[in-house]
Amino acid sequence: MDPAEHDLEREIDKALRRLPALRAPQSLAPRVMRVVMATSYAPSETVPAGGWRRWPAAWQMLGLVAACSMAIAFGLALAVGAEWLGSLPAARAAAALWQVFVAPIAGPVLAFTAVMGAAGALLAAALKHVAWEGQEISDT
Amino acid sequence: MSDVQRFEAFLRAHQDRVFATAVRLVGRSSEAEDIAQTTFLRAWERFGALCDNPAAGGWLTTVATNLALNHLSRHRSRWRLFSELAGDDAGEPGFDASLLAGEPGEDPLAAADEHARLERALRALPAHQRVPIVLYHFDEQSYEQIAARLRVSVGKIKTDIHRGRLALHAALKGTDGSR
Repeated sequence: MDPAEHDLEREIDKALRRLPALRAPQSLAPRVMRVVMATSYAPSETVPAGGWRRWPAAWQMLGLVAACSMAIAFGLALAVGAEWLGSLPAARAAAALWQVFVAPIAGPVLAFTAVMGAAGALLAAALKHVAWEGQEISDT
Repeated sequence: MSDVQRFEAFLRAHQDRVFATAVRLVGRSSEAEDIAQTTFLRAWERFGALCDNPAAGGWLTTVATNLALNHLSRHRSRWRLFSELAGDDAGEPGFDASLLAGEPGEDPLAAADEHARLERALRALPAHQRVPIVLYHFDEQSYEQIAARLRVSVGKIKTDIHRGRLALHAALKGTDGSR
Protein backbone atom coordinates (compact mmCIF):
# COMPACT_ATOMS: atom_id res chain seq x y z
CA MET A 1 0.00 0.00 0.00
CA ASP A 2 1.18 3.53 -0.80
CA PRO A 3 2.60 5.09 2.45
CA ALA A 4 0.47 8.22 2.06
CA GLU A 5 -2.65 6.05 1.71
CA HIS A 6 -1.55 4.02 4.73
CA ASP A 7 -1.15 7.19 6.82
CA LEU A 8 -4.55 8.44 5.67
CA GLU A 9 -6.16 5.11 6.60
CA ARG A 10 -4.57 5.19 10.06
CA GLU A 11 -5.56 8.79 10.67
CA ILE A 12 -9.18 8.27 9.63
CA ASP A 13 -9.41 4.97 11.48
CA LYS A 14 -8.14 6.63 14.66
CA ALA A 15 -10.52 9.57 14.28
CA LEU A 16 -13.54 7.32 13.63
CA ARG A 17 -12.71 5.06 16.57
CA ARG A 18 -12.51 8.09 18.85
CA LEU A 19 -16.05 9.07 17.92
CA PRO A 20 -18.21 8.75 21.01
CA ALA A 21 -21.06 6.27 20.97
CA LEU A 22 -24.20 7.66 19.42
CA ARG A 23 -27.26 7.76 21.63
CA ALA A 24 -30.51 6.41 20.31
CA PRO A 25 -33.28 9.01 20.30
CA GLN A 26 -35.39 8.95 23.45
CA SER A 27 -38.42 8.18 21.33
CA LEU A 28 -37.08 4.80 20.16
CA ALA A 29 -37.71 2.65 23.21
CA PRO A 30 -41.30 3.90 23.85
CA ARG A 31 -42.03 3.50 20.15
CA VAL A 32 -40.87 -0.12 20.07
CA MET A 33 -42.63 -0.94 23.35
CA ARG A 34 -45.89 0.53 22.06
CA VAL A 35 -45.78 -1.83 19.10
CA VAL A 36 -44.83 -4.76 21.31
CA MET A 37 -47.72 -4.06 23.68
CA ALA A 38 -50.27 -3.26 20.98
CA THR A 39 -49.73 -6.18 18.65
CA SER A 40 -49.98 -9.86 19.14
CA TYR A 41 -46.22 -10.23 19.00
CA ALA A 42 -45.23 -12.79 21.58
CA PRO A 43 -42.16 -14.90 22.09
CA SER A 44 -43.15 -18.32 20.80
CA GLU A 45 -42.94 -20.89 23.56
CA THR A 46 -45.98 -23.06 22.89
CA VAL A 47 -45.83 -23.21 19.09
CA PRO A 48 -42.59 -24.70 17.87
CA ALA A 49 -40.82 -22.54 15.26
CA GLY A 50 -37.93 -22.93 12.89
CA GLY A 51 -39.05 -25.88 10.75
CA TRP A 52 -40.04 -29.48 11.42
CA ARG A 53 -36.48 -30.65 12.01
CA ARG A 54 -36.05 -28.19 14.90
CA TRP A 55 -39.31 -29.17 16.63
CA PRO A 56 -39.14 -31.15 19.87
CA ALA A 57 -39.46 -34.93 19.38
CA ALA A 58 -43.03 -35.03 20.72
CA TRP A 59 -44.14 -32.35 18.27
CA GLN A 60 -42.37 -34.14 15.44
CA MET A 61 -44.20 -37.41 16.22
CA LEU A 62 -47.52 -35.61 16.50
CA GLY A 63 -46.93 -33.86 13.17
CA LEU A 64 -45.97 -37.15 11.51
CA VAL A 65 -49.06 -38.96 12.82
CA ALA A 66 -51.32 -36.07 11.74
CA ALA A 67 -49.78 -36.01 8.25
CA CYS A 68 -50.13 -39.82 7.83
CA SER A 69 -53.74 -39.72 9.07
CA MET A 70 -54.59 -36.99 6.59
CA ALA A 71 -52.96 -38.89 3.72
CA ILE A 72 -54.86 -42.10 4.56
CA ALA A 73 -58.16 -40.25 4.94
CA PHE A 74 -57.61 -38.51 1.62
CA GLY A 75 -56.83 -41.82 -0.13
CA LEU A 76 -59.94 -43.49 1.32
CA ALA A 77 -62.15 -40.53 0.38
CA LEU A 78 -60.76 -40.61 -3.15
CA ALA A 79 -61.48 -44.34 -3.57
CA VAL A 80 -65.01 -44.08 -2.16
CA GLY A 81 -65.74 -40.93 -4.15
CA ALA A 82 -64.52 -42.45 -7.43
CA GLU A 83 -66.69 -45.54 -6.92
CA TRP A 84 -69.73 -43.42 -6.12
CA LEU A 85 -69.13 -41.06 -9.09
CA GLY A 86 -68.71 -44.03 -11.44
CA SER A 87 -72.26 -45.13 -10.70
CA LEU A 88 -73.75 -41.77 -11.80
CA PRO A 89 -74.81 -41.34 -15.48
CA ALA A 90 -73.91 -37.63 -15.40
CA ALA A 91 -70.40 -38.42 -14.23
CA ARG A 92 -70.01 -41.02 -17.01
CA ALA A 93 -71.12 -38.40 -19.56
CA ALA A 94 -68.70 -35.84 -18.13
CA ALA A 95 -65.86 -38.39 -18.33
CA ALA A 96 -66.69 -39.06 -21.99
CA LEU A 97 -66.73 -35.33 -22.77
CA TRP A 98 -63.39 -34.95 -20.98
CA GLN A 99 -61.87 -37.75 -23.06
CA VAL A 100 -63.12 -36.27 -26.34
CA PHE A 101 -62.63 -32.52 -25.87
CA VAL A 102 -60.28 -31.76 -22.99
CA ALA A 103 -57.76 -34.61 -22.80
CA PRO A 104 -56.25 -34.02 -26.29
CA ILE A 105 -55.37 -30.40 -25.47
CA ALA A 106 -54.66 -30.74 -21.74
CA GLY A 107 -50.96 -31.59 -22.28
CA PRO A 108 -50.13 -28.66 -24.58
CA VAL A 109 -52.12 -26.24 -22.38
CA LEU A 110 -50.21 -27.36 -19.28
CA ALA A 111 -46.89 -27.06 -21.12
CA PHE A 112 -47.82 -23.58 -22.40
CA THR A 113 -48.81 -22.48 -18.88
CA ALA A 114 -45.51 -23.75 -17.46
CA VAL A 115 -43.48 -21.96 -20.17
CA MET A 116 -45.38 -18.69 -19.63
CA GLY A 117 -44.92 -18.97 -15.85
CA ALA A 118 -41.17 -19.50 -16.27
CA ALA A 119 -40.95 -16.57 -18.71
CA GLY A 120 -42.85 -14.35 -16.25
CA ALA A 121 -40.51 -15.33 -13.41
CA LEU A 122 -37.46 -14.61 -15.58
CA LEU A 123 -38.86 -11.23 -16.58
CA ALA A 124 -39.58 -10.35 -12.93
CA ALA A 125 -36.03 -11.35 -11.92
CA ALA A 126 -34.57 -9.25 -14.75
CA LEU A 127 -36.70 -6.23 -13.78
CA LYS A 128 -35.66 -6.60 -10.15
CA HIS A 129 -32.01 -6.78 -11.18
CA VAL A 130 -32.31 -3.66 -13.33
CA ALA A 131 -34.35 -1.69 -10.80
CA TRP A 132 -32.48 -2.67 -7.62
CA GLU A 133 -29.12 -3.57 -9.13
CA GLY A 134 -29.04 -6.93 -7.40
CA GLN A 135 -30.84 -9.08 -4.91
CA GLU A 136 -31.75 -8.29 -1.36
CA ILE A 137 -29.64 -9.51 1.48
CA SER A 138 -31.26 -11.83 3.97
CA ASP A 139 -32.13 -9.79 7.04
CA THR A 140 -30.89 -12.27 9.60
CA MET B 1 -40.14 -10.11 35.85
CA SER B 2 -42.38 -10.61 32.81
CA ASP B 3 -41.11 -11.18 29.27
CA VAL B 4 -42.19 -7.66 28.29
CA GLN B 5 -40.23 -6.11 31.18
CA ARG B 6 -37.18 -8.21 30.37
CA PHE B 7 -37.47 -7.18 26.73
CA GLU B 8 -37.63 -3.52 27.66
CA ALA B 9 -34.42 -3.88 29.68
CA PHE B 10 -32.84 -5.72 26.75
CA LEU B 11 -33.97 -2.96 24.37
CA ARG B 12 -32.55 -0.19 26.55
CA ALA B 13 -29.25 -2.05 26.89
CA HIS B 14 -28.76 -2.42 23.13
CA GLN B 15 -30.62 0.51 21.57
CA ASP B 16 -27.60 2.85 21.24
CA ARG B 17 -25.54 0.24 19.44
CA VAL B 18 -28.33 -0.71 17.04
CA PHE B 19 -29.21 2.90 16.30
CA ALA B 20 -25.55 3.85 15.75
CA THR B 21 -25.10 0.97 13.30
CA ALA B 22 -28.17 1.99 11.33
CA VAL B 23 -27.62 5.74 11.32
CA ARG B 24 -24.00 5.49 10.18
CA LEU B 25 -25.06 3.30 7.28
CA VAL B 26 -28.19 5.11 6.11
CA GLY B 27 -27.10 8.59 7.18
CA ARG B 28 -30.49 9.80 8.38
CA SER B 29 -31.84 9.61 11.92
CA SER B 30 -35.48 9.10 11.02
CA GLU B 31 -34.73 6.17 8.72
CA ALA B 32 -32.27 4.73 11.23
CA GLU B 33 -34.96 4.85 13.91
CA ASP B 34 -37.31 2.85 11.66
CA ILE B 35 -34.56 0.30 11.04
CA ALA B 36 -33.78 0.08 14.75
CA GLN B 37 -37.49 -0.46 15.49
CA THR B 38 -37.73 -3.27 12.93
CA THR B 39 -34.56 -4.84 14.34
CA PHE B 40 -36.00 -4.89 17.85
CA LEU B 41 -39.34 -6.27 16.68
CA ARG B 42 -37.43 -9.12 15.00
CA ALA B 43 -35.59 -9.59 18.29
CA TRP B 44 -38.90 -9.72 20.16
CA GLU B 45 -40.10 -12.51 17.86
CA ARG B 46 -37.01 -14.52 18.87
CA PHE B 47 -36.67 -13.20 22.39
CA GLY B 48 -36.90 -16.68 23.90
CA ALA B 49 -33.61 -17.56 22.25
CA LEU B 50 -31.94 -14.15 22.50
CA CYS B 51 -32.63 -12.92 26.02
CA ASP B 52 -29.80 -14.77 27.77
CA ASN B 53 -27.61 -15.22 24.73
CA PRO B 54 -24.22 -13.49 24.97
CA ALA B 55 -24.19 -13.19 21.14
CA ALA B 56 -27.41 -11.15 21.13
CA GLY B 57 -25.52 -7.87 20.54
CA GLY B 58 -23.80 -9.28 17.49
CA TRP B 59 -27.09 -10.68 16.20
CA LEU B 60 -28.75 -7.27 16.57
CA THR B 61 -25.87 -5.53 14.77
CA THR B 62 -26.02 -8.03 11.91
CA VAL B 63 -29.78 -7.63 11.52
CA ALA B 64 -29.54 -3.82 11.67
CA THR B 65 -26.72 -3.84 9.09
CA ASN B 66 -28.65 -6.10 6.71
CA LEU B 67 -31.85 -4.08 7.11
CA ALA B 68 -29.93 -0.85 6.46
CA LEU B 69 -28.25 -2.26 3.34
CA ASN B 70 -31.58 -3.57 2.06
CA HIS B 71 -33.14 -0.19 2.77
CA LEU B 72 -30.41 1.58 0.79
CA SER B 73 -30.65 -0.87 -2.08
CA ARG B 74 -34.46 -0.66 -2.19
CA HIS B 75 -34.50 3.11 -2.15
CA ARG B 76 -31.33 3.62 -4.16
CA SER B 77 -32.90 5.44 -7.09
CA ARG B 78 -34.95 7.79 -4.92
CA TRP B 79 -32.03 8.34 -2.57
CA ARG B 80 -29.70 9.18 -5.46
CA LEU B 81 -32.14 11.72 -6.83
CA PHE B 82 -32.51 13.46 -3.47
CA SER B 83 -28.80 13.44 -2.72
CA GLU B 84 -28.05 14.94 -6.11
CA LEU B 85 -30.70 17.62 -5.61
CA ALA B 86 -29.42 18.39 -2.14
CA GLY B 87 -25.77 18.41 -3.20
CA ASP B 88 -24.06 18.61 0.14
CA ASP B 89 -26.52 17.55 2.83
CA ALA B 90 -24.17 18.20 5.73
CA GLY B 91 -26.86 20.23 7.35
CA GLU B 92 -29.54 17.61 7.04
CA PRO B 93 -31.98 17.90 9.89
CA GLY B 94 -31.52 14.26 10.89
CA PHE B 95 -28.12 14.99 12.44
CA ASP B 96 -28.27 16.11 16.00
CA ALA B 97 -24.95 16.70 17.77
CA SER B 98 -26.66 16.07 21.09
CA LEU B 99 -26.88 12.41 20.08
CA LEU B 100 -23.13 12.20 20.61
CA ALA B 101 -22.20 10.87 24.00
CA GLY B 102 -19.35 12.70 25.68
CA GLU B 103 -15.98 11.14 26.50
CA PRO B 104 -14.15 11.89 29.75
CA GLY B 105 -10.64 13.36 29.67
CA GLU B 106 -11.03 15.47 26.54
CA ASP B 107 -11.44 19.20 26.10
CA PRO B 108 -15.20 18.91 25.84
CA LEU B 109 -15.75 21.81 23.47
CA ALA B 110 -12.94 21.06 21.04
CA ALA B 111 -13.62 17.34 21.08
CA ALA B 112 -17.35 17.80 20.63
CA ASP B 113 -16.70 20.14 17.73
CA GLU B 114 -14.34 17.69 16.04
CA HIS B 115 -16.65 14.74 16.62
CA ALA B 116 -19.66 16.62 15.33
CA ARG B 117 -17.73 17.71 12.24
CA LEU B 118 -16.56 14.18 11.53
CA GLU B 119 -19.98 12.65 12.18
CA ARG B 120 -21.58 15.25 9.94
CA ALA B 121 -19.01 14.69 7.20
CA LEU B 122 -19.56 10.94 7.43
CA ARG B 123 -23.29 11.36 6.97
CA ALA B 124 -22.77 13.81 4.13
CA LEU B 125 -20.76 11.28 2.12
CA PRO B 126 -22.62 9.67 -0.77
CA ALA B 127 -23.88 6.20 0.18
CA HIS B 128 -21.44 4.43 -2.13
CA GLN B 129 -18.57 5.91 -0.08
CA ARG B 130 -20.19 6.00 3.36
CA VAL B 131 -21.35 2.37 3.43
CA PRO B 132 -17.94 0.82 2.60
CA ILE B 133 -16.22 3.16 5.07
CA VAL B 134 -18.61 2.19 7.86
CA LEU B 135 -18.27 -1.51 7.07
CA TYR B 136 -14.47 -1.21 6.92
CA HIS B 137 -13.77 0.99 9.94
CA PHE B 138 -16.63 0.16 12.31
CA ASP B 139 -17.54 -3.39 11.27
CA GLU B 140 -13.90 -4.35 10.55
CA GLN B 141 -14.71 -6.07 7.29
CA SER B 142 -12.05 -6.54 4.60
CA TYR B 143 -12.21 -4.94 1.14
CA GLU B 144 -13.05 -8.36 -0.30
CA GLN B 145 -15.88 -8.99 2.17
CA ILE B 146 -17.37 -5.57 1.50
CA ALA B 147 -17.11 -6.04 -2.27
CA ALA B 148 -18.83 -9.43 -2.04
CA ARG B 149 -21.54 -8.05 0.20
CA LEU B 150 -22.27 -5.03 -1.96
CA ARG B 151 -21.79 -6.99 -5.21
CA VAL B 152 -19.25 -4.62 -6.68
CA SER B 153 -15.57 -5.02 -7.57
CA VAL B 154 -12.79 -4.77 -4.97
CA GLY B 155 -11.25 -1.98 -7.04
CA LYS B 156 -14.40 0.12 -6.80
CA ILE B 157 -14.58 -0.42 -3.04
CA LYS B 158 -10.95 0.69 -2.63
CA THR B 159 -11.56 3.78 -4.75
CA ASP B 160 -14.76 4.71 -2.91
CA ILE B 161 -13.15 4.23 0.49
CA HIS B 162 -10.15 6.31 -0.55
CA ARG B 163 -12.34 9.16 -1.77
CA GLY B 164 -14.46 8.97 1.36
CA ARG B 165 -11.36 9.13 3.55
CA LEU B 166 -10.12 12.18 1.67
CA ALA B 167 -13.45 13.91 2.29
CA LEU B 168 -13.36 12.99 6.00
CA HIS B 169 -9.76 14.17 6.22
CA ALA B 170 -10.75 17.50 4.67
CA ALA B 171 -13.61 17.81 7.16
CA LEU B 172 -11.26 17.08 10.06
CA LYS B 173 -8.83 19.74 8.87
CA GLY B 174 -11.69 22.15 8.32
CA THR B 175 -10.86 22.57 4.62
CA ASP B 176 -13.18 22.61 1.65
CA GLY B 177 -13.23 18.89 0.98
CA SER B 178 -14.04 19.26 -2.68
CA ARG B 179 -12.56 16.41 -4.75
